[in-house]
Amino acid sequence: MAVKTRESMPTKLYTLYDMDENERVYTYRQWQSLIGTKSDFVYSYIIAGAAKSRPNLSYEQKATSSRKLLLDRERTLWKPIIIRYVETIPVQEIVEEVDESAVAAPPIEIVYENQKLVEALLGNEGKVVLEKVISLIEDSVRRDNWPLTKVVVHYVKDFEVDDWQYALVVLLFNSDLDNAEGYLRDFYNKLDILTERFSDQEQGILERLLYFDVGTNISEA
Amino acid sequence: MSEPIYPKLNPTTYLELADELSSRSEPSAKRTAADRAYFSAFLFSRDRLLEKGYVTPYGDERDHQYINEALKRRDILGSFGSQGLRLRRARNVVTYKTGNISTITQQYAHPLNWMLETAREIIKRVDELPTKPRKT
Repeated sequence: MAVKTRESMPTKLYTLYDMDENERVYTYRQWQSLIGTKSDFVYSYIIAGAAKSRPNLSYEQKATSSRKLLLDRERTLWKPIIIRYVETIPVQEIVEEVDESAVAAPPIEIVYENQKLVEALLGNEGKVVLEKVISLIEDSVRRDNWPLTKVVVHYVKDFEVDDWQYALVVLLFNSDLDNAEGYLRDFYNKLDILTERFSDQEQGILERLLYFDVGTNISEA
Repeated sequence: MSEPIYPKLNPTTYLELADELSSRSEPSAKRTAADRAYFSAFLFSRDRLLEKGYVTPYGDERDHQYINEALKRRDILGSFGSQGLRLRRARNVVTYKTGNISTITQQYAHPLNWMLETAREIIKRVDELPTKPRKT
């Protein structure tokens, strides 16, 4: 399951909060991975507004009277609303203030396994392509709040096909496997857009030498 | 002409067989299903992309590399083509390791239903590609 956007979130929630394109909905687990807090909520949604791109927007203007959300016009503020559900009915809402620095995307750790072999395989052009791919990943973490914890770049030599070597870029998420699959699909879409600007040579390197996979650090039940 | 000892094969029938085997409880049935899921997608892609004018396969083991690279071409499946190699790596785990396999101990292992669905999606997307216009 991917991060919910207004298109995929429950209609009731969307209607209730009249969300716009600057807002995102996270499952509580995703939010936990971002801010590192714990809660006894079993399952909840959190709405976080980021309005840097729309400094004139006042959430209060369009909010219901009970919605004491958001916005300092000079800064981006992130204030989560935690909604507790009984079955599908929202019964309790808690608005919390969160320090902006607490929700800033953490730096992404890039780990190479056999870095010399990876670099020899990719060559200078390939390293540039890999850097562009990693920038895309970093951008997605920042903009879409992917719960990415690490990127591991492996050198792989296929053991059935002679001379088949490639770099395997594994995105490790702090999520379950279903969510990680969703992020990978999202990544594919973003990469297809990015590669429209690639030269033929860069595209060839991407096709021949770079493959992608996901992993997770949450045990499946 | 003598009768073939192995008649002509439609690779999608491997996936049908894999579906059948997946419901059986024996480890050998499930592992054979996982192996055939990969080969169904790989062989279907190879043959259909040839028919449609996208590739010229070798007809041997080199095609695993050739087709997995081709699937990622912009005019074929784009980045989604990387799923072909994920399926292959998952198949390698299931085919070559005889011990217990879990997604915790084997990073690239995937549940059988993921392998069947991924094979199905690759086949569907390749099947939907248009025939490539011949260069004159």
